[in-house]
Amino acid sequence: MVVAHNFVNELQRAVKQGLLIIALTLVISLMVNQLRYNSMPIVGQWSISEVITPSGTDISIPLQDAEKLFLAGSVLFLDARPPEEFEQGHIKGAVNLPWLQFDEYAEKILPKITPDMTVICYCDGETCTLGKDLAFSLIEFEFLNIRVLVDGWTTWQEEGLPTERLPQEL
Amino acid sequence: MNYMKESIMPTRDKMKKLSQINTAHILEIGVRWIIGIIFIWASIDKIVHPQEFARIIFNYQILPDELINITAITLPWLELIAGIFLITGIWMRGAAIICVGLLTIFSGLLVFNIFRGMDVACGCFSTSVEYASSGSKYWYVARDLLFLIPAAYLFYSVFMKKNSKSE
Repeated sequence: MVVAHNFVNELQRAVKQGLLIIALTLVISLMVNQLRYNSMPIVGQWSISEVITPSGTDISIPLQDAEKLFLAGSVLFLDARPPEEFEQGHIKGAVNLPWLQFDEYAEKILPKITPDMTVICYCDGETCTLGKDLAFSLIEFEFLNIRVLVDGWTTWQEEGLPTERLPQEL
Repeated sequence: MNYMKESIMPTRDKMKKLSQINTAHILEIGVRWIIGIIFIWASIDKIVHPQEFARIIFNYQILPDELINITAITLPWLELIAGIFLITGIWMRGAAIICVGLLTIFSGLLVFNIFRGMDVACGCFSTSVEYASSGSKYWYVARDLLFLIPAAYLFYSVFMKKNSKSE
């Protein structure tokens, strides 16, 4: 009984000290953040439903618009995921241009894309940035109609839209 | 006279007990240093690169977006300050409970991510956002579970042992 009482007392003391340490941490960390040259906002914009280029344009495309373009046959889908994932399944007609192997694949694929072709880059997962990174790179190569379908692979499948497993050649 | 001699001269049992207390005390100090240095080391890169650390936190997909930046700003400093206090003995009980708590949470998060099938960078000691291979994520978990051993001893030593002389 005495041992349990001592343990509770020790724990209470520890919790009080812990809260003091946390308070001290908050003061120091927020002060340093304010004073440093690369300070971060306390609340950041992490939602990736928008894809904003350095020039301030949102190049994300809603799934419904991507579907319309697909049905009209007037779009090229570029899958930015690694080849192993692409082979497991991709949007029907998509071409694999893995962002992590861009230099190796770009030589073959980029010459076949005309600058005014509508291209939609995608990858998989809400946190995946491969599609965005690929799109930004294509914009630097002066392709004019580049869009990003955020979390493209998952959302395409969830809507039951056409997919395939065979690799595509342009 | 004989009674006074017995009370002044240490018995063999008392000597043995003193030796055990000293060993336990040295072990506790050693564990505090090990865990303290781990936390201080882990905090440095994250304090220098908070934006990169924020991206790692985002990739874990655990916290709401509104809490990501504040966590990236404050958590590395908490690791640094708790590590320093653990080593120096300032507010040592509070520092111990924070360090043990954080280690438990970090280990739990890594295991949780394996169950979710997520390949995310650990963010434990570095803000390098590499795509974790399936081998390395098991190594991160094993390493963090190993850190829990001295952490468990620290908790026991600080809160359960009667003769803790740490503060």
